[in-house]
Amino acid sequence: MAEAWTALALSLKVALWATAIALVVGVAVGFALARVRFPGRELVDSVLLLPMVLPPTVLGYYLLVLVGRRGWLGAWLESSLGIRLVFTWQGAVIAAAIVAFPFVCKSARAAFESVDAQLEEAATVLGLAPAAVFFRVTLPLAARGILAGVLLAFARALGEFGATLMVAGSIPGQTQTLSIAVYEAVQAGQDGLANVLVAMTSATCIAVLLLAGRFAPVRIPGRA
Amino acid sequence: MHCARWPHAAVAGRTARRATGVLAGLALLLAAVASPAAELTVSAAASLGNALREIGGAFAAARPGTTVRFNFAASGALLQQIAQGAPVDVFASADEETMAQAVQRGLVAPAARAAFARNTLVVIVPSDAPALPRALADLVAPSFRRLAIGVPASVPAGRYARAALESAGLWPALATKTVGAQSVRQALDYVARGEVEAGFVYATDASAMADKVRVAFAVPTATPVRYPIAALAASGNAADAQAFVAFVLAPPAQAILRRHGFAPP
Amino acid sequence: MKWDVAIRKSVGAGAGRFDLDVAFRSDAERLVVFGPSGAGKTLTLKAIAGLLRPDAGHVRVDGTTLFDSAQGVDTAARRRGCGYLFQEYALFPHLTARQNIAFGLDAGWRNPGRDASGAAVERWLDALELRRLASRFPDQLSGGQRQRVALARALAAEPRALLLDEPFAALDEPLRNRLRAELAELQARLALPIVLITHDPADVDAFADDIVQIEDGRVRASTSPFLEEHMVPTSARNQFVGTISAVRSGAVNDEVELTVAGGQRVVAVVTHESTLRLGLAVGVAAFALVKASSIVVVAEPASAMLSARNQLAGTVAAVQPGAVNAEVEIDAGGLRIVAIVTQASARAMALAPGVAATAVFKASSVIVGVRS
Repeated sequence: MAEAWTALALSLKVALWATAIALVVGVAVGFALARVRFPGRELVDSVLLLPMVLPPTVLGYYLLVLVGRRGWLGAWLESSLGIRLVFTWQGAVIAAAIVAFPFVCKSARAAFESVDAQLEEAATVLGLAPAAVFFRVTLPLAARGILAGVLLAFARALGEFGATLMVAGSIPGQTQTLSIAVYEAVQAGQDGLANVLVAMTSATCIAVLLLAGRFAPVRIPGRA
Repeated sequence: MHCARWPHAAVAGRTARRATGVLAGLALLLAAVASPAAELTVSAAASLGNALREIGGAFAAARPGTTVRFNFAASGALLQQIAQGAPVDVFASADEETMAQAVQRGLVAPAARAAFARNTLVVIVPSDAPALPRALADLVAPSFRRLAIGVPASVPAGRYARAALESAGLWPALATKTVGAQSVRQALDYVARGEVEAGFVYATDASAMADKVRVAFAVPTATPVRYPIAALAASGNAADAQAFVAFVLAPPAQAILRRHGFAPP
Repeated sequence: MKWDVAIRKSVGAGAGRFDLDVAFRSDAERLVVFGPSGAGKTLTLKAIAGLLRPDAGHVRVDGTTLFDSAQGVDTAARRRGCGYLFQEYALFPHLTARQNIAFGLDAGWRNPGRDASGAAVERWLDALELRRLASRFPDQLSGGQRQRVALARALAAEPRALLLDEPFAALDEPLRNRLRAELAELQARLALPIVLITHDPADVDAFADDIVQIEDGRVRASTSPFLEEHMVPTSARNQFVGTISAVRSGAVNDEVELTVAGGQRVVAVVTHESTLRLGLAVGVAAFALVKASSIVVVAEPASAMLSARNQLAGTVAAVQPGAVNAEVEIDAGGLRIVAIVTQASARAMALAPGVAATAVFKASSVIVGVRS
């Protein structure tokens, strides 16, 4: 049972970190796609959404080749910064962040596109620099749409299995997330443990959805 | 020589069973891609991959009209699949314990199992590793940051490794450094990629990837690494299943096993 | 010169392309840009505000150069100090009226709190009667209320000029009249220069010190057809239409000052009796007649002090030689003045288009009239 709690804590830690990374990068990229017109924009958009449709094992393999000790990024990381990503919880975070990113990016782009440009013009004319306009007008108005994407991203990161297994492996307490723990329990015929793990995962997801419902932004136009 | 293993009664009832087998095969035909009359599904431990494929080819060549499909994974995982009703005809595991569990769950008749090969557990390192450990105790050194071991709950190689480490009193020290592999072949892959400093696999696996890994030393195991094979009680093609089992135990197949590095049972 | 705008801008491509090429100068404190929908009025206003970058040209407001492509000047919109009223008000939907008004007072990264206050906020809440609406959100306000909040928001930031994009278009008639009057009064009180764009002639009537008419991306004329409605058939070559901006009573006569096109002021002397009979008072629409022969063209006005009350400086726009005399047309900041001079004088002074010249005429030469 202790291993079940460990797996839960680890899953939450990995999912939260992955969602945080996906949030920052996804909002930035989503904003760029919404506001900047450049040649090949739609192509870039499609490529960035690939992790959403690629089989997780394919993603995991690409990642492994890239950040493994023999991969060009992994080799550089190890030689210059002494960082190894494979078989670490940080590696699990990277894998989960990559699959979660498209959810945030897509909804962020749509949300930013729905913000009336005139409001940003009004803020500019009132003396605000572009960064201030973004944080005071654009972001608050896009927040709701972005939050919807973040929730999906979190759920996806929490359930990530294929890519995580390939990149982070299964190390109890360090990279054995709930999904992997369930898989192994079933493989070993430990149905009792599997049931506990599945119940935990479901309860966590329900709790996340309820929490999100309470914090979903502010006002609905038309209601006093 | 091995005809004695076939019940004589089977010869008489063989025609009837053949008919049933053909019908079952036809049913499979409808569901599957175009396949010939007799098809055998063999679930075998990951380490048997290269050897059994060759044996399967020889079996099919000797009996035209038969094809053998293989399903390789960790023995524990395979057992679960069979227990959940996977349509498997023959099961070959990497340790007696998994087969014993199969017998205990009524999936295999006690008399049906037979050992057909033996293997050695070895410790391997990546081929570009700077130093070779010479004994289990050497693995405690900090230079060995990560060790690949099959997940003991479902991978026999992992079980053997853990047992060996436990009897050497090294398991508590090394457990935190282990990376669980879903099968012995995955442990091999981890070492071949250089993601871990050392791993526990079978000698046969090491020779399969001789260019990427080096064997450091053999690990003495309390129980010998012995592979049993059995036709499954629920097989829809019992005759062919038993024929396959017999074939594996016969000299031509044993020669193939020898060539791949397996010892006699 | 309060407004000096000359810009070119191409938007869109292919069949949907629109070329804007407008140029106008005016000293008027209340400038109205008038024209049909799609004429390019909003583009012009945005160029002045800095929300649009012209391809070429310059924008100067009250002597300050905000944009000059030749000199590489392009002040960012946020530093131009122009208040802007959008056609649909562009109030921030996630902030209350109070927060909207306080918005421009702090250029930091955080929005004003719900309880935002300060001298400027309170002043405008009161001035535009928004106090009881202060905690409401824009979607809880009516059109007229939103317009006032937008106005308060722009004014709270203490702009140097106010730019309004069809401010009354979305309102109904009675509200429109009321807000027009309020805006006029506000403008006079603050002496704040404003540019108002509209397609409604009534706005021009009620408001304009000067008009720029834009159609299809180009300036059409400096006086518009309906202004010409106010004109009477007359032999006087100069008929200046405008609004009375001052009436000064003297011992015998009254001095009446009219603000006409280009923001120029024309001074006339009128008897007390006429003032009463015509009902001349500040704000009344009136016109001034001046014969072309009453106007003296002076090349260097600064070289002498003249007793004439009217001295309108400008440049020669055209010289039309006649049989005996020459007709000289002077453009004084947007006001067209026609003077008649002898051919000899024209030659002696080397009068030609572009030459600086001042039109001088006595207050007693001016006849003031109102339409009955």
